[in-house]
Amino acid sequence: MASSSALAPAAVREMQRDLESQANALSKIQKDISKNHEVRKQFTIQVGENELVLKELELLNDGANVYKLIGPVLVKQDLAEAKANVKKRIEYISAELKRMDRALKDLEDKQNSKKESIIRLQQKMQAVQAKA
Amino acid sequence: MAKKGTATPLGAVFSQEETRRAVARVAQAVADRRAELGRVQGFFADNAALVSLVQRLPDELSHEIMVPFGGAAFFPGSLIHTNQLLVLLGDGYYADRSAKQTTEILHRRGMELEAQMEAIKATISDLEAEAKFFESTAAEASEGLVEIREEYDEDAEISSSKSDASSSYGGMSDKDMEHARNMARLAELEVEENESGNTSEEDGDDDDDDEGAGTSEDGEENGDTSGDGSEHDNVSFSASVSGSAGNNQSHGSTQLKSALKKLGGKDMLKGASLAPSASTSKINSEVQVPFRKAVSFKDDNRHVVSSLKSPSLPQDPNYPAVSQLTSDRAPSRDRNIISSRQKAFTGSIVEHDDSLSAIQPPRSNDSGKAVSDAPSRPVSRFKMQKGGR
Repeated sequence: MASSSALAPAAVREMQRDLESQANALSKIQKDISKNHEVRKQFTIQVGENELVLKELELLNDGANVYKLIGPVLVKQDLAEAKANVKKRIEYISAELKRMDRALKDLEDKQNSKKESIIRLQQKMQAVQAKA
Repeated sequence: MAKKGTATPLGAVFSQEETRRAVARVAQAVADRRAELGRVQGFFADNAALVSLVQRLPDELSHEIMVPFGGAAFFPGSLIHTNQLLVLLGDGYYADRSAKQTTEILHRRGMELEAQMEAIKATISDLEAEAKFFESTAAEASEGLVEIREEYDEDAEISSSKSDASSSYGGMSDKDMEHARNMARLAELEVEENESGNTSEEDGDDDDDDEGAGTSEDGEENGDTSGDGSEHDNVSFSASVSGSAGNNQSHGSTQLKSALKKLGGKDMLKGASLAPSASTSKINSEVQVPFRKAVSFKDDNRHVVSSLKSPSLPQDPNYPAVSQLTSDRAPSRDRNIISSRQKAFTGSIVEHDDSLSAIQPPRSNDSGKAVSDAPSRPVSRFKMQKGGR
């Protein structure tokens, strides 16, 4: 009995360390997820803005003067060129958004598995403690 | 007929603290959305102001203005080219536009903002509904509501409903016997009642009944919040009345069934295996119902037993007539509501409902329900009626 009670604390300590590291990993994943959400929100807003711009550009007649703000100066741009640029930008951001979706899904899967393993660990710990 | 189900107190499933946290979280989300809505509304107002400004600018060839110089100083100047605007389209793109074209752009932008506002409002209302749900769940849990779950076994349900039907249409002799016994029991009860006058004993019993059955019933009506008490009373009252009305044969049979159902439901709730008794009652079903009900409030939930011991029958005719009138009126309204509610809960109840409804739709459900928690108020009224007779 004495030997088992001496053994148990060591096992419990080990488990606690393990649990701690797992919890850290989980919180890191959660941080990543929230970061992903932030960035995605920004991208979504940008897509919306670019779509608005594209709509306005489509409405301009061919002779209209279009400028692009580059740094501190306004640079005159061809309308067709501006349209192409905006379209390309929208495509790029949409692709980026899709990529982020996939990443988010990955992260969530990881999060769930981490949660499960933590719960299992906790149960094991409880069992050991109950025995001791 | 022995059914297995689980009755879990809601409080055990959702801890108070957790529900409170959930409510707080949703409230926070709602607040965020409201802030966002305020921001967008600010944009919208700015946009409207800008539109009116742009519309007025070309009215004059030039405007005398004070030009801001740095943060702190102004000097006089004038706006010229009042119909030439460099409009930011977004994302660093600008376009030369006339005032009229600019207002068009601004209008389109305003529409966009409006759509955004609508979306945010919709989200807010969704979140509020969620918050309400959490709150009501918390309230229910704290009130000790019970969630009742029961596996739906199709075969069992079918067989049980069949037995119901067969019993109701079954041999006349059985029925007659049962009827006679019920009547006898009724008479006995009445005598007792008369003797005891306005006994308080029954009321006491009923209260007990209420506590036991009341909880389970709450569980059944899970969706309902606290305010049910009064409704229950109504229902149960109607049930007891209708039970007495049962002399009318056809009427009686329906009721019987409902009572049976009720019995079955109750059994499940309590987890007790009343299978044998239930089956007996089924066989005798038609006439018996009324009795059982009458008995039930007196004997405090031991319907089964009471129904079995039924003596010689008495003077039903006038008695039932009075009660029937009442039963018809009062309960009918509540019935529909209840029946729909019940359907949502247990398969068994639903089925009974259907079979019953064929014969005599709404009543059955009601009366069945009523039996379970025969409350004090119904009883007293019941008595009053009897006295009037």
